Amino acid sequence: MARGFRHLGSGYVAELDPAEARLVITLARDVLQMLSNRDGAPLIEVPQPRGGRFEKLADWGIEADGAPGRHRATRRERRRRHGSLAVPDAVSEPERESSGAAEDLPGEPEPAEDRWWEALGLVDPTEETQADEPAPRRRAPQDPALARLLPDLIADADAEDGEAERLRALTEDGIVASKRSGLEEAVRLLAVDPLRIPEAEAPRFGAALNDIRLVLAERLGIHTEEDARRVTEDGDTDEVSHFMAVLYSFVSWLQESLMTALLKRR
Amino acid sequence: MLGGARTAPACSAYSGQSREVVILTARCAGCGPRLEGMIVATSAPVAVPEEATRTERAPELPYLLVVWDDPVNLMSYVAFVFRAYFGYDAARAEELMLQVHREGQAVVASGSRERIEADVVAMHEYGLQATLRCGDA
Repeated sequence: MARGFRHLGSGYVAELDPAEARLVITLARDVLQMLSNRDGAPLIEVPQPRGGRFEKLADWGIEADGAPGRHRATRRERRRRHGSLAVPDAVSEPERESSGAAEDLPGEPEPAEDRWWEALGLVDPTEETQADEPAPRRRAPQDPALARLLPDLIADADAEDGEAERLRALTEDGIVASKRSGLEEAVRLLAVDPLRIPEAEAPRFGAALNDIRLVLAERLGIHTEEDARRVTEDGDTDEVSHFMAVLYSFVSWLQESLMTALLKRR
Repeated sequence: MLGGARTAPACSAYSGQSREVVILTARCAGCGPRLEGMIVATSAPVAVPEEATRTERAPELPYLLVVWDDPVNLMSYVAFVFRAYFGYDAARAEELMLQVHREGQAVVASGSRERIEADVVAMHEYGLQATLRCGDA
């Protein structure tokens, strides 16, 4: 049973079951994958998540043998897609060259849980990379979850023609890089038991949890307060949606417990 | 630090306070092309080649940072971001967070175009829904 964050020494400590930490790591990796699909940058190597398979799915109200409820691209298809993402010519760092092949991504879930992540389908395999878009303008992402992570900098009503696209072209790569480094650091921190967040890392870790929640919320169709209530209170949706709603509630709880501990300190 | 005066006409009707500014009219070595046309406040000394500058009275651009309500972002998180990034005290951060929540949006900061653009970028890095707005719009 997980225990929320409390201040300890020069940081914040929480106790997560290995399966719980693994779930959050996998979610963070999926958001990293979405961001990589956006700018064409390869995934970094992240530690193998600790713990076993999803033997505790029953604890989450999920039958482990259940089949995905709707078709999404299979992970193998996504692997192929990721593997085929062209590494830009300008990239010369050796670690980038070696990570172009995605066949042995670390932390890849076991086949049994694979089905669940396929069913969850956080990553939209049809999202096109924008890395080659002409510099002065860049379109908003088509995938609504990615668009939620990377919204326009100016509202339509306030913008001159093309202004949102110009601002996006100037700023988006920096925002993606910031989110990526926060999520990568979160994965590294989550791989260690017990979970300890140094004081200085707490805002970035909170932001990484927030990015995960934004993506889950979009996939769950949360656009209003009423939607949020429906998702967190109703239990009569299909299994995949139910699992995603449980994940959303869990990450929300983890973020809230960190915020409570942080605000108490300030 | 982006955009600069190139898109200033949207705010040209503003007739508020003026202050001394230096307008960089040419690229200076080491600055890169983005500094062209950018307005820099003279409150701190700025090293620029003399032939590339002129000093004049210009309106302070009244750009606003608008943060929008979102059913996903936790109220505690929004208040935390306002405290951590803007340095607001607990009461001010709470007040602004509640204004966002109840009214659907709130103006959380105002200033020059470059400053507010940087604030919007920071809010997006934190995952808040925020936009830039011209103050006289």
